[in-house]
Amino acid sequence: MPPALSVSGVTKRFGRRRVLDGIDLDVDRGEAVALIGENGAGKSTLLKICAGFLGPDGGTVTTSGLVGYCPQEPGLLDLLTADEHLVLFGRAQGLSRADALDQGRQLLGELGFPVGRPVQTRRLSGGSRQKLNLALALLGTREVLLLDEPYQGFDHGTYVSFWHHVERWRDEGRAIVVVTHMLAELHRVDRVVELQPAAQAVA
Amino acid sequence: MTTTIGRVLATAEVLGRDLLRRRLALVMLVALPVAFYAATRWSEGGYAYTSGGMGISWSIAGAALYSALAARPVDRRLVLDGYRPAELLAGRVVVLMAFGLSLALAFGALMYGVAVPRDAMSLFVSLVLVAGIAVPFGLAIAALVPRELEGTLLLIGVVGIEMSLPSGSALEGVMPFGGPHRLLALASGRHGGFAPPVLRAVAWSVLLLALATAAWWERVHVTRHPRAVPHARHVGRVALGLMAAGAIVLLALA
Repeated sequence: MPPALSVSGVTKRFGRRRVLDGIDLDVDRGEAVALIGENGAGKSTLLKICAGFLGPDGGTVTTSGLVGYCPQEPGLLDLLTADEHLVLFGRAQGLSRADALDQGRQLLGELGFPVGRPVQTRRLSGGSRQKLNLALALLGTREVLLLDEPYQGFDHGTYVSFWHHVERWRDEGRAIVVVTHMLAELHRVDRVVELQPAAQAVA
Repeated sequence: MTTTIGRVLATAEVLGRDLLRRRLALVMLVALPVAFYAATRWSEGGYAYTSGGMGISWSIAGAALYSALAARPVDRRLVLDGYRPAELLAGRVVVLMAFGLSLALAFGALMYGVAVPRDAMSLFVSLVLVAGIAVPFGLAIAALVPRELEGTLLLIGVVGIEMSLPSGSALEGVMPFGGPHRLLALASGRHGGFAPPVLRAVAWSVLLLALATAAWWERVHVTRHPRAVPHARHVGRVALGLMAAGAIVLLALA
């Protein structure tokens, strides 16, 4: 069976600066991979290329199934509530309003989000905004999850449970790539890939 | 088809809620053209109509510009999740046109009530056309500029130049709101043809909508791995075709 996510020879430059140089990465279904590396190594760029937000200068990316992408900065509409976000994002995958709310509220509840309060996202704490950001990336049927430091602003309990969730999503058969700087949690993933600045990946 | 309509309606609903929650901005969007009109109400030569009409164009284009800029953080994620760029744009156009037409017609009724124009039809047609141009104008700017400041300056610049141009000048003929500007002059009693400015305004509306669509697609499109997105390329081709047609009509009318 082909990998759920396959990156082959991907290169990327921003102006004269070479960010990615011939990156290869395969992630199978039911596998969780941590992407580490120092600042500027190209971790977020690689995830954006995998999500299709950026085009690579060279190389190819193939995915099987729907990709869920959780960006580092929460991409939310400030004047909408969490429920309204769930309906908007759920509709993208053809979910009815009721299904989007059911599924989304369950995800939010698992992440410790205060479900049911009609609060506009601009009034939420940084951690709660990030929980909603993550839940939107999980909504629907995602076979590949691209998570770019999705735990920023989480309290300790939620942070710990996030890694439990990663293991559960992996056990459900999803392919997961998590960008992280938290080296203490690397034992929770199946494989660690370190990106070197403007060089090759070292597995 | 049902899914497409559902997505367009979902986008429209979200923008509608977002717009209605900006209460202070809504008050200012209504107050701006009223203030322009009131400030020039006793000026000579019917300049108050032009001033009010341009104030309306500022309000509607500003609403379109800022609503599109506010949604930037989520647009690409929505496309990644399954929305077509055209569905997102269509939902916004529907709400903004409804808002723009409501504002324009209410303002037209106000101006009519204050002082009955010589040519009422020109007044109302011009205001409807202002809405038809201002919405794609604001959306096109939002898709083209990198940040809010550049967009705001572009909006102020274009509409400001239009306001300072005397009616009937050569430059007015090629400006986006030149057609409505000319119709507002007709409403105040000037002489001239009715059809050419209407056609010019419609051409600008089509041209700007095509420009907004093309720039929008470029800004929000997501590369699908491993297969391409044929419908999105189709939208891009249609937009380019409409832009070419609009440009030809404008050149012919100028």
